[in-house]
Amino acid sequence: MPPSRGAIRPVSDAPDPGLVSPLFPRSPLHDADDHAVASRAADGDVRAFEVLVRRHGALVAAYAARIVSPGDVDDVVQDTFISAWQDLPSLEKPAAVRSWLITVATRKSVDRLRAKRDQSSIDEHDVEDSADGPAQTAVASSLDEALSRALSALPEDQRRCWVLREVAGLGYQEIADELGLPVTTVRGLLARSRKALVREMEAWR
Amino acid sequence: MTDAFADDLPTELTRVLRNVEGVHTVYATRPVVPTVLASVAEAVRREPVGMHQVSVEGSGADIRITANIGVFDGEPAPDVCRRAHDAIVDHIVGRGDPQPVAVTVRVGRVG
Amino acid sequence: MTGSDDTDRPRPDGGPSPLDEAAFEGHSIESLSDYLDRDRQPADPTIESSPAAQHALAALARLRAVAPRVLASEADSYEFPHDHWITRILDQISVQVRAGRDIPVAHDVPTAVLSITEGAVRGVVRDVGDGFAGMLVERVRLDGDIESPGARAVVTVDIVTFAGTDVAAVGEEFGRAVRSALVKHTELSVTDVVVRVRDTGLTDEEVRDR
Repeated sequence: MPPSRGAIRPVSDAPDPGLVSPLFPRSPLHDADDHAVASRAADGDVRAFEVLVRRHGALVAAYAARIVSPGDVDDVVQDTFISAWQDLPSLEKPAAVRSWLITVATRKSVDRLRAKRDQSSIDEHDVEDSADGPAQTAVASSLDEALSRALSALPEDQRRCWVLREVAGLGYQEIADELGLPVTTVRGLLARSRKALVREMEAWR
Repeated sequence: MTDAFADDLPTELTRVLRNVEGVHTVYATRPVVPTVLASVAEAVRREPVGMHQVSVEGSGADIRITANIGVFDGEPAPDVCRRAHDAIVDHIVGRGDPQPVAVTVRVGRVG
Repeated sequence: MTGSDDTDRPRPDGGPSPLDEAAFEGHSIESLSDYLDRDRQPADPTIESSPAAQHALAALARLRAVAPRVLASEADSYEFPHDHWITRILDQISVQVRAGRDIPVAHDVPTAVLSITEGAVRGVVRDVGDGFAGMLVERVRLDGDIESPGARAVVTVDIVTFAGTDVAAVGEEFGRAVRSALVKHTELSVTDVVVRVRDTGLTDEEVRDR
């Protein structure tokens, strides 16, 4: 196809599974890739930042929900994006903003856990609630959903270890430091979480 | 003209600026009402957008004024900036006060 | 990513899990799990030569591969309790953080301290770009002693162009429009407008266009 001047066909080279790409985009910004949007936001464009928030907010929330109690998710999401706005200019690879947001969310989530721990408040409500996962239908209709439920069914420390290792990519010592647990305990919790999740996963093969 | 219920000077100047041809927004120079916050670090970050205020420091003959404005892009921003400055000075002199020592006008946004 | 077929249904009996401990030869799930996390270094011959251990490691690796998908699907179905969550965030961010340096504006009154911020200038350049189809401004940089009156400045603009855009033509026209907007809204002496193009039709390579 010969290049035509003035053609408006934004091509996102980082397709987001959560985004529906319309044929005729509302605005180039809405459909621009993360590199473009994050760059503009780093330069001060609030509209671009809003696109980032809308695009990645649910991921940050779903991730935080696996670490902190449901009542704290909203605050973690807010803290994450406010912090992200401050630090965006120093992000060297704007295209990697999505995984960078997970890193920021990790910090905010464990900060909140630590604050709760320091308060030494034993909230049984928290322990029960943290087992809640996303809205669930009667029967898991996919592997993803089955694993999601299995994740919810894990004791919270096992779940946190697994998420921090597999999603945030933290090392054992880092997880131990963040959760205030010995490394040997982290190793054990991780193994147990994997055992339970593999059992669920293998049942779907 | 003194009036027990007169607005304070910052509020007056904010109104003056909003009426200047070419100015569409008067931005905060600093937060007006400190909200209840968890920590000082939070306070630095949570500067609210949209609280309109011109800052006035000093009094009498030693008055210093600072304003942040947003202007439409139809005219050159420097022209609107100068016009905003003049409007501030005219207002202060017009109410019988001495000329300010310094009037800082910063254009934070065009368009 | 794995080739897991979502239309699969769970086997009724569940079957033995590769991580059933009885299957291993002296290796606990913990040590295998740890071994995986060490990227199998240093290589352990007893693990590497044990079919049961390899079977277990393969299962652990499959789980690792599936992890991002689980989170992504949770994100897809995540529902915020209300719409305020976005405005709450946007209300908190301060645009003055991006103000940058003050670019002086002259006035014949000595007590006047007038300026336009670097942030405002970046916004001007972005707006110019928004008027051009097929491209988007990403970042704007001003180099030079711009806090001095009438200073010389080099403006570097990173843009992204979309498939089908005549990159050279758009880059040139855009550069001229930027210069003209800066002449209008600042008192800088703009010596150069450098337009650097990232074409999403290509790879991540940057193509400099002056």
